[in-house]
Amino acid sequence: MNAINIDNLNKTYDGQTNALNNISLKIPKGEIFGFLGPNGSGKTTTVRILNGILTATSGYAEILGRPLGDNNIEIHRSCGVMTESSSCYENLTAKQNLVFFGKMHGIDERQLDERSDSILKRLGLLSVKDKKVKSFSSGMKKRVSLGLALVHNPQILFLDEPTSGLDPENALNVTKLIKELAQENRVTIFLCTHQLKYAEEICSLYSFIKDGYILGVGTFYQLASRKNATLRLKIRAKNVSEEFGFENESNGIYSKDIQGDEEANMLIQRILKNGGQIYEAVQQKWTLEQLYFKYIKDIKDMSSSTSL
Amino acid sequence: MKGNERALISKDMNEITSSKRIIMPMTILPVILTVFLPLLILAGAKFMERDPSIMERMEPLLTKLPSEYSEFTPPQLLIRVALDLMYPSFFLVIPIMCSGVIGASSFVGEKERKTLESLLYTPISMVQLLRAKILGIFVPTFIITLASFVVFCIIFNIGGLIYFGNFILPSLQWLIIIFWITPAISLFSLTFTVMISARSKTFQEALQVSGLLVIPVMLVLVTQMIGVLLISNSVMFIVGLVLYIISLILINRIAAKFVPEKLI
Repeated sequence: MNAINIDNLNKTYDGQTNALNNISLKIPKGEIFGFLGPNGSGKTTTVRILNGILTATSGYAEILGRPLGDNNIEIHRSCGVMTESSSCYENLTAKQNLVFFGKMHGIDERQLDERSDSILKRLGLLSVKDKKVKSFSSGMKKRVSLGLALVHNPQILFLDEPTSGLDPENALNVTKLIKELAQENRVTIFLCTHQLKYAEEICSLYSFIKDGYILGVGTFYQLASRKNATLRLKIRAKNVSEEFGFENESNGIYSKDIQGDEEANMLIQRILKNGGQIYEAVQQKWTLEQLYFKYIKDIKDMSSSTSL
Repeated sequence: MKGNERALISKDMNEITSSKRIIMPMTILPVILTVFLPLLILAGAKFMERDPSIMERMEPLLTKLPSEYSEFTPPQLLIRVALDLMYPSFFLVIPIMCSGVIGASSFVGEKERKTLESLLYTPISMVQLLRAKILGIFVPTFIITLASFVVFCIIFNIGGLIYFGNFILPSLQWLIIIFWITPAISLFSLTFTVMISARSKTFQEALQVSGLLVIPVMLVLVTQMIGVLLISNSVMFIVGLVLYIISLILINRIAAKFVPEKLI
C-alpha cells in the first residue's frame, strides 16, 4: 500500500488561477520524497490539502488508504506536519509545547514526559527545555516545531524546508534524524524544499513542481533517463570544434551529455584528431539541480513553441 | 469534554497568565473599577456627610428616582445611586473587556502567531476546537468578573457598615447582574469577538472592533444616570435572556462557517 495517493488534484483560490493543476503522485511507504519547486509553486498548498486544512477544488487523495475529507481526524493522528506557516507557542517553554501537542494527540501524560525529553534530546534542545520559546534563536524555534511534528510518532511526516535557517551542525543533525526515522521506523517523509543539493543528499524519490504543474516524478535515475541525461562529459580543452556539440561553459571548460564510456572515448579521439587539445576530461553524473533546470527549460521551450 | 479540549483550555489559560499584553488590561481595569472608584465614592460619601446642602443640588435627580431614595442621608444616597444606577453598567465593562482581550488573543492572536495552523494539524474536530476556544474565553472572563465582584462587595460593605449599619451587598439586583447578565454579556461579547476575528488580521484590530460593544453599555449608563431609564430586575432578566438567545444563534452561524480554510 502506498502511503500517499494523489489523483488529478486541482486547487483554485479565486476560481481563475489554479494553484495546483491535475497533480498525481504515488508515494510508497518508507520513502523520503522530495517535493521540489520554487516558492509559490504549490508545495505548501499540496501539504495543506493532504492534511485536510484546505479543500481540493477537484480530484482525489488518500493518506494510508484513508480518503481525504471523510475522516481527517484519523489522518491527523498518523501525520506530523512542520510548515513555514505553522509555529510553536512562544510564550510556552519547549517542553510545554511538546507536552501540549502530545496531549492534543491523546498521548498519556506519563509517557509524554519521557517522549518529549527524548525528542528534545535528539534535537539538541534538552538543556533549554524549560526556557520559553520566545528566547530561542530562529534555528532553535525550527527544531521545536520539528519536535511538535514528531511528538505523536507519525507514520507520515510532512516537512517544509526543515533545515532552512539552521546552522550547518544542526542542519546535519536534523538530516540525520530524518534519515533515521525513515530507516528505523519506516516513516514516510514528504519533504518540500527548494534546496536541491539538500534534497539530493536525503531523498530517495523526487517530484518537480512549478506553477502548480508536476514536471516529473520518480527516482533520480528515472528522472534522468527521461531526459537522456544520465552522464555528462566535462573537458578542459582548446580548439574544440562546434560540430561536436559541446556547450562552452567558461574559460575552456566544455560539457556535453553522453551515453557512456564508448561515446566519451569516441568524442575525445575525434577532438584530438581535429586538432583540439584536451588537458582534463571527466564523466559527470547530472546533479539534481542540473536535472531540475533541464525539466524547467524543457517546459519553457515547449510553452514558447506552443505560443508561436 | 475530551482530553484534547481540556489541554487546549489549559494551554490558553497558561498563555493568558504569561502574556503581559493580555494580563495588563485585565488587571488594571478591574482594579480601577472595583477598588479605586469605590474608594473614591466612599471618600465622597464622607465629604457629603459634612455638606448637607448637597441634597438640594441633587433635587432634580431625586424627583426622577423612586420615593425611597428621598429618605436617604447624602452619603447613603451617593452609595445607593452608585450601586443601583451607575455601577450595574460600569461593572459590565469588565466581562466585555476581558472576553474581548482573551477572545482576540485566542483567535486572531493564534492566527497572527501562526499557531492556529499547528493546532489544525492535530486530531481535534472543528466543533471541539470552537467549544474549547469559547470555554477558554468564557471561564477566565467569569472568574475575573467574580473575583472583581468579591473585592467590590468587600469595599462597598465597608461603606454599608459605616453608613447603613449593615452589609449592602450582594443584593438581588447584583446577584442577577453577576450570575445572569454577566455570563450573558460575556457570551455575547466573545461570540462577537470570534465573528470579527475571522476578518481581522491582527490582535489590535480585533480588539478595537470588539471594544465597540462598550458603547451600548455606556449608553445604558448615561440614561440611568440622568434618570431616563431605570432598569428593573425583570428587565435585566429579559435582557439577559435575549443576549443568550442571540449568542446561541450567532454560535450556530459561526460553527457552520468554522472550517480550517477560512481560519488560516
